[in-house]
Formats: sequence, C-alpha cells, structure tokens
Amino acid sequence: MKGPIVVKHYFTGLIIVLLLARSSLVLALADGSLAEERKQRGYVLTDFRLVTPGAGPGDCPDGFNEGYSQRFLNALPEAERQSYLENPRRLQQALAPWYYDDPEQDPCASPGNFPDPGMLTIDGPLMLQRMEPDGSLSQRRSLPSACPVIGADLKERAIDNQYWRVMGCVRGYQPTGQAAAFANSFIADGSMTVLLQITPVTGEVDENDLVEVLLASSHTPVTLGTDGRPLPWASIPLAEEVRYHNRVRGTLRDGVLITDHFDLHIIKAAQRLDSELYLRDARLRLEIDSATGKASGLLAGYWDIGSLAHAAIRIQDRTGLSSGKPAADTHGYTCPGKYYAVKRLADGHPDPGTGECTSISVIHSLHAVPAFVIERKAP
Amino acid sequence: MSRKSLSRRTLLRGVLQGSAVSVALPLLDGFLNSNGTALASEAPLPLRFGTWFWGCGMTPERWNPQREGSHFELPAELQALSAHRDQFNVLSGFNVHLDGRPNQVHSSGVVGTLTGNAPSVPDEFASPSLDVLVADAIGSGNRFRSLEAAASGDPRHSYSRRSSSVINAAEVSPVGLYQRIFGAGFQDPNARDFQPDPKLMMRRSVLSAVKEDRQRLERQLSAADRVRLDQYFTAVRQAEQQLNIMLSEPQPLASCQVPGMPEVSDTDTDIEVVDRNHRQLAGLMALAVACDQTRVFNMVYSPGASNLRRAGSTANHHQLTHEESVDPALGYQPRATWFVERSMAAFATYLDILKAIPEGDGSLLDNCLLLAHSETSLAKTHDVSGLPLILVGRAGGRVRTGLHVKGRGDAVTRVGLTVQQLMGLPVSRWGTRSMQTDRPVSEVLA
Amino acid sequence: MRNFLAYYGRQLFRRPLQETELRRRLAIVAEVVTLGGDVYQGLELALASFLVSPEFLFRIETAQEDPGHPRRWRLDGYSRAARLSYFLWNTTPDEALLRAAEAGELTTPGGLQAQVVRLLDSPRLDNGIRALFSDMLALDRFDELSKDVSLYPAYTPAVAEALQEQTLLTLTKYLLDGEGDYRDLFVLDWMPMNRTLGVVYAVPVPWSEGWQNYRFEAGAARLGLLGQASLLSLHAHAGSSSPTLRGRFIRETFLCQPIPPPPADVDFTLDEAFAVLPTARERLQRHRKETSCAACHHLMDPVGLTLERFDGIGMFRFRENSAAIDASGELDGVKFAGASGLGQALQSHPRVPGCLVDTVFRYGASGTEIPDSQALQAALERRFAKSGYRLPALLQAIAGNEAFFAVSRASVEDRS
Repeated sequence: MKGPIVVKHYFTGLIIVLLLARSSLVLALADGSLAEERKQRGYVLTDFRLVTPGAGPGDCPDGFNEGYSQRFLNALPEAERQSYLENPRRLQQALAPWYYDDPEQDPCASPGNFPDPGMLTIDGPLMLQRMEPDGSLSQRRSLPSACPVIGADLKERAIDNQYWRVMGCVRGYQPTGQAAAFANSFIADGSMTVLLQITPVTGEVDENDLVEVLLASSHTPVTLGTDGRPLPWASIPLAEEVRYHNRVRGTLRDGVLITDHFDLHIIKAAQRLDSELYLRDARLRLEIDSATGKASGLLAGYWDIGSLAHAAIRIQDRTGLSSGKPAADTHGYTCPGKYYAVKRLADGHPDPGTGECTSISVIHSLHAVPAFVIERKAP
Repeated sequence: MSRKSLSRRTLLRGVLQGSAVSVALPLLDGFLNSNGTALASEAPLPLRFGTWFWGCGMTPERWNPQREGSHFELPAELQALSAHRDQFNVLSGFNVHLDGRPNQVHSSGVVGTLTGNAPSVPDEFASPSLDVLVADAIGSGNRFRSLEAAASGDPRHSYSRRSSSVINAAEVSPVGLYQRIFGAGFQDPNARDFQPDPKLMMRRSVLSAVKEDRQRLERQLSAADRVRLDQYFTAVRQAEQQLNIMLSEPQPLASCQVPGMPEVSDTDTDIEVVDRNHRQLAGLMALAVACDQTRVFNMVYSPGASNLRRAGSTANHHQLTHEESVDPALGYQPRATWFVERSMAAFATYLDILKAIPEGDGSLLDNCLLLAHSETSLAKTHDVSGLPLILVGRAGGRVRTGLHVKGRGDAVTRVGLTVQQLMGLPVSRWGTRSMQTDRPVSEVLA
Repeated sequence: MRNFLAYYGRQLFRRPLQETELRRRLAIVAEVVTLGGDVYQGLELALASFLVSPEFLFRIETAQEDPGHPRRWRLDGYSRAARLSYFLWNTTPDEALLRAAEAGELTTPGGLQAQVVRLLDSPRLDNGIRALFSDMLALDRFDELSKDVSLYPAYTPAVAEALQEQTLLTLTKYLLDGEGDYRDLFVLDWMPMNRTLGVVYAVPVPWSEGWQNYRFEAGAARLGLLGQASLLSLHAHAGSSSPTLRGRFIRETFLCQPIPPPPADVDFTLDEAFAVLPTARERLQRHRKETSCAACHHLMDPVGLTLERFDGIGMFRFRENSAAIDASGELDGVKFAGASGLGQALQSHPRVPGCLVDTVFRYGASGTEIPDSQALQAALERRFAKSGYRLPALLQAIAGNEAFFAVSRASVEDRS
C-alpha cells in the first residue's frame, strides 16, 4: 500500500511574495488600501456549503439509500405496488403522517426512540480533504477515523469530514442533488448572512502575523448586484445576539489566515427552516486573493450531534413542526437511519461518562468578498 | 375623477438642455373616462386582461433568452411558443425582493408578483391581487367582474384574491364553467339598446371649454411656440375625436357565439387529463370574453408546487424538482423540465384558442393583455429571483410585442405597475418596501 | 359658484380669469345639471377643465410696453410672479405673490425686492435649487441610463436613485444651508452618504438609515463635485468610462464652452491597433494623431483622463485591463493629476463663476433672449464675486434685476 499523499500549501504563500516583489502598486484594493497592509478587514460570505465531493465508483458498493416512499414500495408484492405507482396520493396517504404533533412519535424529532433501519455509508478507504493540526490541508486515502479515547487532545488530530461518510450514499447529497442546489440560495435570498472580520493584534504581543478573527451572523440580507450575486463593500451590522459573535485568534501570513480552535454558533435559518450551526473545536483557513481582495477557504470542525439532530434530522420548521420526514424522503434516507449512522461515525468529544463521541467532523467551504462589519454600539 | 398628479417639472425640464417641452398627457388621457382607456384604441372594442399561471417555474438556463430586444432565440423551454413569438414579450430577471422576510416557499413568488408585497406568512394577500385591481377598474360594467378556471381540478387553485381570506374560487369542470357563463342569466351582448353614457356627454362639455382656451391661445402664439405646443394640441384633438367615437353606437360583437354544452369530464392530476380539461376551459373562457361577459379572466394550469404527474410515476412535478438529480451530461433535471415544456405547450394552445376568434381587424388576443407567470424560477431551490414572466397580446395597440426585456434584478412590481397603467388605472407607484416602484417596463409600451 | 371658480381659476392659471373663460366654466356646470348630474359633479368637471387647459399646463408669459420707456417691452405683473416663483421655488406662485402682482408691486423696484427676499427666505427655495441643478446637470438622464450588468453589477436601481439624491443634497446643503463659496464645491472633502452608496464608494456606513456626511481622509482620491459617482456615471458609456464625454461635460457645464459635434466624415470604425491597448489614455492616442479630431479632443481628453481612476459607474480603480492608470492631465495650461488636481484646477479657473451666472440666468428666464446681455453678465459677475461667490446672493442679484423681466423686440414681434 502506498503511503499517504500530503499536499501542503506552502507554495501559495511563496507565489504571493514573488508577486508582491514585482509590483506592489497593482495590489491596491477598491478602497484604496493595499492587500498586504496590516489593517482591519471585513468580509461577507457569498458562498457557504458542506464539502460533499460526490460518491466515487466503489464508494457505495450497495448503492444509494432509499427514502420512506421507496422503502414502502419495495416491501410490497409486485401486484400491489402497481396501484400505488399509479396513484401518488394513495402512496402519500399510506405513509402519513408526514408531520407529527407529538415529537415523541416523530421518527425525525426523536430518532432514538426508533430502531435502526440501517443506513448505507461510505465505510471503506476514502480520499478526503482534511485539515492537519498545523492548519494545512491534506488529501489522503484513509479509513474512517475512530472515536478517540476520553482525554485525548483533539487539537493534535487532523479534522476529518466524517459527515460526508454518513451522507455520501444519499442521492440528494450528491453534487447534482438537492442539498448542493440549496446550499447557496440561502445567502442570496437574504435569509443567511455571515460576516468575517480580521483585526491585527497590536500592543502586548509583537508577533506581526497575529490577528483576531470574528466570525458572526447578521440579520441583514446581503446586498445583491444586478447580476444576482452579493456585492462587495456593503456595510452590514452584526446580529445583536452575542451568541453569534464567535471570536478566535489566528495568524495571517502571506495572505493565508489560519485560526486556532474555537467553538462557534451561526444562524442557519432559511426558507422554512429555523436552526443554527454549532461547531466545536473548529478552525478557519482562508486564502486572501491579493489582486481582487476576495477570500476563500474552509471551515473545519466538529458538529455537535445535538445541534446536527435538530438542524439536519429533525429539521426544525418555522411553524414549530419537524420537516424531517418529507426532507428525508426527498433526499433519500430515513431519520433514524441517519441518526444511528452519525452516532456510529462520530469522531469528536467523547462523553466523559460513556466514552461515546458527541460530535462529528465536518468541513464547509466558503467564499467571501470585502465588506464593512458594523458593530452595534452598546446603548 | 382621476387623482393623477401632474408633475409641473416636466413642463420646465430641459430649459437648459434645449430639448422640447414635454406635456403631461396622462392627465388628458385620464380625464376622458375613469379608466383612461379612451385614447387606447381606434375602435371602441373592449380591453381585457387575463392571467395564466403554471406551477414550479422553469430552468433558468433553458428558459431565459440570451439576447435582449427583438432578435432573441427561443430557448428550449419556450420552443412550444414559437408560433406566437411576435405576439408576446419575455420578461426575465425580475425578482420578488424578500427584504429580510422568509421565503415562503411556493407562495412568496406568486403573492409578490400579484400584490407587490412579499408575504410574511404563506398566502398572505395584504392587498388585492393584480387581476382584482384591474377588474375593479375595467370589469365592473360586465356580468362577471372576473372569471377563474383551474385545469388542475381544485377550486382553490386560484390566485385571484381580494384579501388573504376572500378567494375567487375557480371553476374546474368545463360543464361548470359553461353553465356559469352560458346558463341562466346569459345576456346576449348584441341584443342591448345603445344609450350614450351621460357621464361621457358631461365630459364632452369640458373639452369644449378647453377647445376655446386652445383656439384663443393658438391665435396668440408665434410659429415657434406653436410647434412646441403641438404635442398638446394633437392630444386634445385626439381626445375630442375619441369621445365622439365613444358616444356613438358600438359595432356588434361579431365573434360572440354561444357554444354547445361540453361533455362531462373527470378532473385529475394526470397531465393528460389536465390538458384535455384545459383545452375545453380555454375555449369557453375565450367565448366568455368574446361575448363581453367578462373583461378579466384567470386560468390556472397547475398550482404552485405543481401536483401534476405523469401516469405511472410516483413523483409529481413538484417532487421531481427536489428529488431528481441534475443529469450531469445535460446539466438539468430532464423529468422535471418535461413538465415545464408541457406547460408551455398548453399555454401555446391557450393562445391558439384566443387567436382563433376574430375581432376587428385582428383577433381577440390583440385586444387582450395576458400575463403568464409562475411562483418560482428554479423550483428546486424555491428561487424567487429571475421569475418567468410572459406578457402576451397588444392590448388594443398599446403594447409592443416580440421583445425580450431583461429586468436586471429589478423588482417584479415593475411588471404589475405596467399592467395597471396599460389597463388605464391611475397608478403611478406600486409595491411595498424595496419593491415599491414608479418605473413601468417602458420597453413594451407602444 | 362664480366666486369658487374665479378663486381656483386664478390659482391654477396664475392670473385672474377673463370673463369668457369664467363663463365657459359656468356653462359646464349648467350642462352637467341638464344631463342629470348634480352641481358638485358640475364643479368637479369645471375644475377638471382648468387642469387640462393649456393656460394651466404651460406658462404663458405676457409682455406689456414699459410706461417709462416707450417701445421697450417687459413682462407684466402676473408673468413676473410666475417667473419668480418657478425660478426660486419651482412651483406656482403663492397667494402673496399673486397679490403683489395684482397690486402692481412687482413692477416697482421696492416691491420686487421685498418679494425676492421673501422667496429666498422660504424653505421652498430648497426645491427651487434642486430643480435648477437637476436641469443644469441633466440628472433626468438617469431615467434612461443603463450599465452593463456583468461589468457593473453594483449599478442597481437603488444606487441610481441615491446617486442623484447625493448630488442634490450636496448642492443644497453646501450652497444653500452652508452658504458656501461656489468655487470650493470642486474641492469639498465630504459628501452625504447612505448605506446604498457605501457599496459604490467602498466606504463604511455605520448609520443604517438616511444620509450623513462622510468625510474622506486627507489625500483621498476623491474630492469635490467631480468625484461624485453620479456625474462620473452619467458621463461614461454603458460598459466603460469615457474621458472624452467627461471632458466635454466639464467644458460645457462648468466653463460654458460648447464643443462642436464630431465632423460628419469621421471614421468611427475601431482601429485594431488602438483598440487592443489596455488603458483609455493609450486608446485615445488616435484622437491626437488625426488632425481633424485633435482640434476638439485636445480640449476634452486631457481633462477627462484625470478622472480615469473612476470606472463607468464611478467606482475607484487603480488599474484598467491589468495596466496601471496614469491620471495626469491638464486644463487650459494648468497641469495636474487625478480628481483632486482637477477639482483644484476648476476651483481657481477664472471662467467657472461667470459660467454659473450665465447658466442660472438662462434657467430662470426659461431660456428666452435677454437684451444687453454682456453688460448684464458683467454686472452680475461682479455682484457674485463681491458676495464671496454665495449662490443666494447670485439668485437675489438675478431675480431682483429689472433686466430679468425684460423682453427682447424679436420675441414680441414674432408674436404678432
């Protein structure tokens, strides 16, 4: 077996340095400042989505998962199946209810109350992008990572993307599916705005690269251009709730920002959904394009299973109901199946009592353009 | 009386730029009759407005024409309309602005288009729908203020609403629609006696006074000043002529024919059944308009979150938009897009039927303005930007057709405002919050 | 009823009604009643007849022979009232002005001065100034202005509307409320800003609602009226900036130097050798190489090129097609670079104040020919200079001047 392939991105920094040496004037941004200047910079995300590379050949040897409707039809004798195929309304009725008044009865609100119907996941060796303890990115073929022992230091481990292993054999999570299509519409339709601010740390420390990073939600929709995409240079206020102001230190060296580990909450409410994303021991790695001022990178961390269950299995609806069951059917999985698969593949934060992991590694990709982060003054 | 305010600035604008003085003609226009339709057409044929709705939108890459103006090519999802391409305008890139309100899926798009307000809860009609506003202005003299039909078989499939709770329910069966129009109470439009409207005669006295003012002034003016005022003088003369036409007996409605009773048919969500019913409903609707039983007519082919289905498939159109993967080779969802193409084929049939009725020198369609619309662009993500909108018919010569107009992210209320102004409503501004606009889609105005 | 119609007729026609005009309206009421309507319907239509009458829709000015100077013509009192009111307030005369016209006060120096001072003291002056500058800067062209979506996505309808407002606010705040020196308008280091425009200027706007003044840092690339994205957008193409259009605008609007249109035989086909060059400065070399072009373009291009760091919608840029932009240029022998250099050059240009005097006079007099204009222009310029180039002083000098109401022989004879 071949050894791990590690692609470290030292090169990027090197190229930027060379460019800088050639002509520094051309790197000026639209606000007249220079990209390499040590000054506060704000951004607004224009794209934020799960990294879902798509199932490769052989990743899902038993095929894709099936949703409630397909499972129901498969279980019927051939003769009976035909009558449902011809009458979708009858099929819908047979699978009712789709929304539950009592959460305890709802397989998506309380998946643990139900037996495990099984879920096909990517359990074999898989080539996956991950974030190394030094903040660099690597890509290597490996087996699922295991739940660490109690007391192990997560900061010493690479952050994996085990959530993709859970969802990798789900039709709706392939790059051509529903989840990917939705991913970005939430920013453009104004229901999800995430801000980023990088402030040089001065004073007591004399390390030139040290910055403080603020990753925060806003309730103000992004400003769209006539091309339908978010515009740079908007002034956008932070959400009032400090819960959504996530601060962490990091280094900004040669246009690459790497933060320390931090826990974060951001609002993930959109269309019918009403939830938030809670990541633990997350890290942000961002590359700033000195010519355009735009930034892009990855947010890697451990998704708290409680938060995941609320946002991505129960799927809290603005009406207070759980949309989990219709969503699972649309994407092609079952709620208890997903719940047990997440628990099985969880690889972070073992419970001190039981030793079971309570979080699962996940990677989001993001793109951002310059913006002015407006901090509300205390009244 | 019209409440339109006259902008005095327009009289003075261009003093330094040396351009011609422009006159606020809408005032003249508006005072002739309360609908302002007087100057619209040479012949006094009634002006009508209709809507045609289909659910689950389209695929932007396969729907939006590339080029702007008149020389655009019809993309795949609009191909079915090729026989009518000179009779309609494609309006792309107009958005419902949510302004921070949640996207009420399958509702924000249609409610925003029809009321100019993004709903804060699903199906909230904070103000009457566009067709109701138009019907209040042009439909009150007819037997039916408006007529609604839904080929998809459910009377609730109607977006004609006076408020959130007052719905103009749709007729779903051809027999039901037939009985409503041609059953008891049907009035033959050609049987009535003509009486000149005393209100119009009163208005003629106003024009006589203005005529004297005009003649007095014309005698005093220099030749150069007379040229500057020419636009105004022409408009006054046109108004005088128009009023005379309106006070003389109208031509009979030659195309009004009472049809036979249709056969009883089932309703279903199977697209083939829907298509059959749609064809029958369309034929009856067209005759109801030709017989001047109504001037506002609304047709729903399929509802928002379309429940239409193909026989033998468990997933309906709406489910397919979410469940079907994008075909990597094609770049779109082939089964979902099939429904879009079928919907446009049905719309083409609708236009065939309206065009088949002769009226004046042209067809019934020429004296109509028809807005075809949906609740999303790409239904997969419930996208309410770049909504699909087609404006059909020349509205008695008021509309230029055969164009593709790009909205560039402007509020969809520009379209609703255009419709109202074309129908003669004295409205200069429409929509709420960032959707409020005073700019009609001037490209389509003749 | 007669009094009712006479009262509103006077307001709407800006003069008392003639007996025939009034009788015609009374006839409308009678006719409506005959046709079965009531008196209120009759009055409604009689009022409507005023609103569609040319006497209401157009300002019709009436001249009379000057009793002091036979064979000289001047505007009568009511026409003076309308001219004053539209000049300073951009609206119809109020009751006090109509009364002054009726009493013959507007043809006496003292009576005229009293009304001019009253009009200048009114908050309605703000609207008048907006109308004046909207016309002078042709802001109504925004209605037809369109920009390429893929190149300028920031040019949204909200931005277009806010740009006009920003410029009008700058002018009223600075020239009227602040009684600022007109010449310094070209070097102002602040402008009113809102959230919408923060995106175009790439500046932070902490206030969420409305307008507040934003002050640019010392040495910033933007300075003065010509650094405003409204004017930079108006004088540019749909997909690029235009040094030529900007240069022409500056010459014609602020220096009153009309530039003739290009000769009819100009070959506009793109010269590939020039078209591929990265910056406008290089592409415009062609203008200098062909003598038929050079004669006019040397007046425009070197001025407009100093604004090249602002793209087709006035957003700041350092480069065009990856090449650094050289923003140097000159105006009538003064060499400088960038918008700030241009602003300073205009601030000290001797023709700038006189051009405003001429423009404001022509605007107020609705473009009609004025007799003895050269002597008048010189006198008004002196008054303007003496006031420290304050706009209200200029308005007063013009509106209070008898020449403002003079009528040339030509326009009187033409009417006969």
